[in-house]
Amino acid sequence: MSESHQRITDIDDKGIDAGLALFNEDRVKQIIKHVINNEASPRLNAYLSTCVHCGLCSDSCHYYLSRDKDPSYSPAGKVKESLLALTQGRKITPEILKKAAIVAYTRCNLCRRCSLYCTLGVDIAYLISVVRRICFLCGVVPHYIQDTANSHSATFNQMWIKNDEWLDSLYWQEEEAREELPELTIPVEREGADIMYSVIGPEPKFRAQLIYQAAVIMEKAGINWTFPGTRGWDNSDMCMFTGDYDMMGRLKKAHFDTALRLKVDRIVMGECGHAFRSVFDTGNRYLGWKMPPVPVIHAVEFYNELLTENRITIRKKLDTPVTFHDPCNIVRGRGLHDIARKVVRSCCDTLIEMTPNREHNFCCGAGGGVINCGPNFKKERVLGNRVKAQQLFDAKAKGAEIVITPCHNCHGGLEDLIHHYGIDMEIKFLSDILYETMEI
Amino acid sequence: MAHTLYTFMTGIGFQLALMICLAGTAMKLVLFFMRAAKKDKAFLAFFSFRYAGRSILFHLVPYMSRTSRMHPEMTAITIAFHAGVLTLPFFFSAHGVLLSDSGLPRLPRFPDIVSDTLAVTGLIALLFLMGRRLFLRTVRFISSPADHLLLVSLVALFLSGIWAHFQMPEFLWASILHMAAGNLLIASIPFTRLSHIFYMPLTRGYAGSEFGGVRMAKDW
Repeated sequence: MSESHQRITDIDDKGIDAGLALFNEDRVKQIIKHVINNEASPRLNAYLSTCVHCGLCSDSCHYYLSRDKDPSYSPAGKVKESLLALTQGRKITPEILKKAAIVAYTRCNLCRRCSLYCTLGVDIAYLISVVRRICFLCGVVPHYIQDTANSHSATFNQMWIKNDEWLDSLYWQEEEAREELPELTIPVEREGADIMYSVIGPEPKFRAQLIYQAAVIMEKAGINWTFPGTRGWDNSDMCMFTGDYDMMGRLKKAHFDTALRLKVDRIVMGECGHAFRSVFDTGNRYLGWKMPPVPVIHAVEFYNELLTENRITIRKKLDTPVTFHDPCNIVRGRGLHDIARKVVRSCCDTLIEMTPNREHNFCCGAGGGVINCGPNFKKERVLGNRVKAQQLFDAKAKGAEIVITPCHNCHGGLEDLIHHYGIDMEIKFLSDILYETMEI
Repeated sequence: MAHTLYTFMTGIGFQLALMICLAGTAMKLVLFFMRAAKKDKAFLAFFSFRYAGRSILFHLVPYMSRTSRMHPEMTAITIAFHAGVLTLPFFFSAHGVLLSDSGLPRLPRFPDIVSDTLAVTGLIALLFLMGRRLFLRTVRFISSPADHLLLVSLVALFLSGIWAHFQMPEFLWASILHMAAGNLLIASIPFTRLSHIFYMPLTRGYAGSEFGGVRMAKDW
């Protein structure tokens, strides 16, 4: 067996192994029965009965294409090795459960691309989410992502950031930004502001420049905005991906409650895809809201508004050729591909397209919580996305020097691809480009 | 013996198969909606006839969806098979006679050349699908014994139908085999993968509703 095709059951993960140490077949069967009978949508049975096993979904999956069309990486193949292995076999062994967990957590990005390629409309991402839910209830979850979910439970953010550290980060960035714009403030807890700006935990932790840039953009656009000073500032949600739906609901409730307490007109979310999925699509539904109780828009839509309303002006367009990577959760999840391109074209001279793109774009390989499963699964992730690396190579060959993507997970995923495959490209957020090119 | 079987297959056998099919389908759909109301309110809240219809249309019209363009041969084969299997039961002249004799309204009937062409292309399409299931690694990996059995039943249905129509040797037994296969397939619709006949408008329709109405994205 080649190194790149390590046997699933040989992969070690502290979290999965700890859960399996407590393995009890009867309990696992009870959990499966509970999830299928009491929690899962009737769509689950409809999907399983409807799927005619034609295999047409295969060519939609970046893992399958990147892994030399190994059938176990096809969407239907992954369902067979996870959901069907758990629900249709007579016996469940620790190996079967481990395999199901690894397939569901680390070999599917829940990117929903395969939904576009199944004539019958089978939602593979939903089926894989059901497997994750079962694994979560069995306590068999990769260590790193569970640690992030634990952080959500304890601190309501994904990076174990204490509230004073959050506030310190804001004051620190305010101080930094005042060197450039002496009148600038980063408003915190401003009741009645038009906008509550929410970000994900890694922004104050690793990417504080994004808070700086957001503050400069808001200041120059004359926006009446605020950051929350309490929990609810972090819009991210790894619990949605581990299968801890109760905690997902608590996180989204804290987020919406904060916006309602601050009496803002709407929430503008920073450049993150999975958080948008959680706030706009998944978490709100768990709480019983058909649509979020406070209007929510993604940063891409917000930047477009600012440019369209001439609230900010572009000083000089970037002359370096760029390419644009479509994040699944705001493209297949919200159709923002054309708006994003409009923003890119407003501040860049040359946009080189990768194909396929827009709704048919390949995932970065990091989404769906896969990157959060940690270093044990990094190799699998980069080898499983050779097709995206090829797209980047092709864009580079056409002259693109920078890849822009308005999503934190995509940054992580593309960064790993760029390093692994040796692609000489820079990755930037839209706010990086806006800040660089706008009139200040 | 043969004549008794023939009478059974065209009479009680067919009626029984049809009843099982209709009752099973109704039961499956009622259960689906009852469970959706209890466990998946989003399904009912977000289902949109407009976007469901749009999505179904784009996926059914050949070469409109990207997936059908990426697999042109599979698209052609699927059309050939479905054209035969969905029209011949109603519009093939011999079926028309049996249906009229059962007291059902008289349906238009295909000229023999049309029926023969549809039957033969349908059979060729089925053999292609069978070959695909047996020899394509990816399809073989996800195939279950039930998938193979279904294809074998369909091949038996088409082959025996053609055999009987052209009155080849022992065509009476071929007719009986054809009717037995047909009745079994009709009865199995709600309980096998054939349920995609009635689930597809719900599954593809719901995907279309979510993509069109909530996610504002094309899904074809």
